[in-house]
Amino acid sequence: MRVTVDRDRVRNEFDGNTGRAVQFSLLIELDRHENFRSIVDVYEVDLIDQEFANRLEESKSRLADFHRLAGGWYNGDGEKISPRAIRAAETFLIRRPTFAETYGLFPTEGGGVLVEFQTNGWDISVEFYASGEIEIFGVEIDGRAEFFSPKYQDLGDDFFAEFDRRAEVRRL
Amino acid sequence: MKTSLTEMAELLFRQIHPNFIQNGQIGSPAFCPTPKDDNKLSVDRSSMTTPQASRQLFVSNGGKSQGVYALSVEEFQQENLTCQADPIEAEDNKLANPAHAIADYSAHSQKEQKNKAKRLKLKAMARGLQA
Repeated sequence: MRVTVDRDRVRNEFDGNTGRAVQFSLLIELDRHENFRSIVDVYEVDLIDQEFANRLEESKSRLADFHRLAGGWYNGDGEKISPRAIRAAETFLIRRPTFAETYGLFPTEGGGVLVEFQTNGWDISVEFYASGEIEIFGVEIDGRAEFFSPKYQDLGDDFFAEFDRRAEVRRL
Repeated sequence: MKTSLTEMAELLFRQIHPNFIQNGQIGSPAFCPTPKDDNKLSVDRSSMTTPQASRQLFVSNGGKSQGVYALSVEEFQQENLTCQADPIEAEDNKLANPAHAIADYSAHSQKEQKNKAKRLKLKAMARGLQA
């Protein structure tokens, strides 16, 4: 999705706040299947909520800590965490800050990164493998239902469509 | 031959590595065996040790533990995971651990193991920190 905002507007409204995370209020157009079609208007561009921003910074800091884990970090096991997995997790957090307050970030024994959070009765994980592949899985907190997504090669539209379906749809 | 644990109410203590706790939230990898573990999760039996003693021994033997959580034999069984006594004798510079036991995940695929670990994490967190 590309959001076009007038350069002068950004400069005038955010002078002195460059480099900070922002949020957009948009009017969007959907097709008859309720899939995104286009952006009709940009109403507001605001600095992102401070609480969100703080949690995002905390998450980025934790990911930076993963860079420093040496091989064998898990009581003698545990591969060095792949920079590729860390970069992908950071991109994911920036693009989906919705659950930032509840995200838990954990290294995996195989050198990947796991993001875990709960939403609407589900405990969901997004695993960023050292290889660059990404997978979503989860369990119902008070039930026996569970799911596993296919493996995705990158943070493309297919991945986000699946993530939004698994996480955001259940919030409705 | 290992002895199966049949006392369903017995609690089994699991050491949580510092990297698997963030703001009091446990990561599910803490309850998933690694390939080196041969699909078996290490735990200590509450009938033979305490959470504090379990943690102390684990750290004395070179492990890192941020805290101890517990699951019952029954809770493992609800995930179709059998538990067996697996006492460890002293060797090299490591102390013996007669309370050691294992939860066997080997009948399940890696995918299945991950979601079982998530369910066990939820149950352990509901029971709360033991030490």
